Amino acid sequence: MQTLNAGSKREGDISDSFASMSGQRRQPLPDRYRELKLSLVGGHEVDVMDGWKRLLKELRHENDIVATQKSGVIPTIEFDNLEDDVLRLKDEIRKRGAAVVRGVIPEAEARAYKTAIEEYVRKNPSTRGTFTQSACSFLNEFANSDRLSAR
Amino acid sequence: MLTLTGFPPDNPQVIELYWSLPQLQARAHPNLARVQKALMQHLWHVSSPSVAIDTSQPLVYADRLRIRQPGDAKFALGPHQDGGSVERWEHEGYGRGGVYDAVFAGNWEAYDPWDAAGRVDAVNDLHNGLGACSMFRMFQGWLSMSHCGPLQGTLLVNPLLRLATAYTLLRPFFTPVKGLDTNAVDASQRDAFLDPDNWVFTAGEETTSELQGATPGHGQEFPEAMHPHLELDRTMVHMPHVKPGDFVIWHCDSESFSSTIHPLILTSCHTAIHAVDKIHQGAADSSVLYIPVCPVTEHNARYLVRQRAAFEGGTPGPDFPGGKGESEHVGRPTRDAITSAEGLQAMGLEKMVFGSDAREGARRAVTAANAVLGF
Repeated sequence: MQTLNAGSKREGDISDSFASMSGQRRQPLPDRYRELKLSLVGGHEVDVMDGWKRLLKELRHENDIVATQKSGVIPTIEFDNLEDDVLRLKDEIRKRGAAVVRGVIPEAEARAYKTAIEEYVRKNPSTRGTFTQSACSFLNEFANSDRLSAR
Repeated sequence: MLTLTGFPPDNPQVIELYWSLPQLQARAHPNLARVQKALMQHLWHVSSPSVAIDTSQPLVYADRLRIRQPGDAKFALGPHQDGGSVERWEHEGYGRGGVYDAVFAGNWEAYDPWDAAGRVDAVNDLHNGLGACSMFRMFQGWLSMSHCGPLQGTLLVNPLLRLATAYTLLRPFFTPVKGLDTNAVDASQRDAFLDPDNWVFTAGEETTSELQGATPGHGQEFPEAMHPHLELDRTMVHMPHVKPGDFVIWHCDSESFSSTIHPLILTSCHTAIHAVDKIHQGAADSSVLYIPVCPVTEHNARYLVRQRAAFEGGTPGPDFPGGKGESEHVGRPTRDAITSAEGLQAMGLEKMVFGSDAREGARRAVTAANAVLGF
């Protein structure tokens, strides 16, 4: 993965990382993106249309399974059995794109991390934290938009 | 951004710390390194042996941490995907590595999210995105410091990585024939709207510049109305209950979010679609260290050079908002806190040795990384 901008980042906080939280009204993308889209599928439009139909069918089927099994679809690996579990669950982890690895760091040790961080922050009250007000408006908007609408 | 004048009354969600002792210890923990290596080596593969990448030893990407108290929903991110947005379509973005070529050819079944070959050359930040990750992360990850379950501030993901990625990429090429009345939508209306026969390819003059949820310089988002067939209202699932010391990982293309009010705010890395609970209904804190899984590449080593300088000066990780950070913090640890050779190497503080990956490309990646780091 490459990044062209190795210089310093503009100022801002995490809310500026996502357009919906930045408070700016989203403008239509420049025309070059229309040209880009035409170039991406040019010459094999029929294959794209056929693939889309297969994709929607597959999504419908798989969405039903996920909606029924919920968190149960996420594979779980035990650190004590790391190699065997990863190999045994390989296909499932690849399909789901997510997994939990249990017991990587002893529980008491990991919990003590939190205490130590709080102590570090107490000693250094200039430590910065992020919580964004604009996220609230985003939340309200999202809560109101959980109905489908066509674009 | 706010300044903590006491802890935890202000109760922020993300704390701008990169170099606390627990973060250094966790990143260098031999157990965590073992997990990172197993995940990279067994789940990812490199289709071209000459591509310069070593997945047998992880590099450190210094990210922040979250300590979140129950009930608060001040910061909640909707379903999103890290690793850029419009870059996934652009020829000079992910197109440089041909990562999604199969999808744009209509043959999405042939798209392999786990082939690292194309991603080494892909560009995920063409538009100076804030919060964009400069390293190639194979996984985004959370090391939990608390018990945390569904609706207790945990992560939600869409667990259909390849399908969701293909859908997101192809969605801008299609439009519904008949829209959906947003008022009083019943199941049959919804089914009719989602029916494949209701969606047509937008050819030629009908093509618009729209890339749903993508804005240059920002992360990819998934306002539900724009990606109706993902049915995120029923397909974003909570991660199972975790306890301190558990490590949660998700593919850099996953759609995700953290869970707090409405169980429907998604978060992400190059990534699975993911989100975070909108409301944290648990009785205790939900606390995590953000620790991704990164392989050795020359490009990653270039970031490590800048990150190493930030570590030595106590300033924020180079991808993150700047300032003096922890430079004047009392009790900030130094490199002496990292006690293993592997831990120092992963930080770019010591010369890397060849790992167990014997591919020619792996050797070249390590050699190039050492050169970049000045060893």
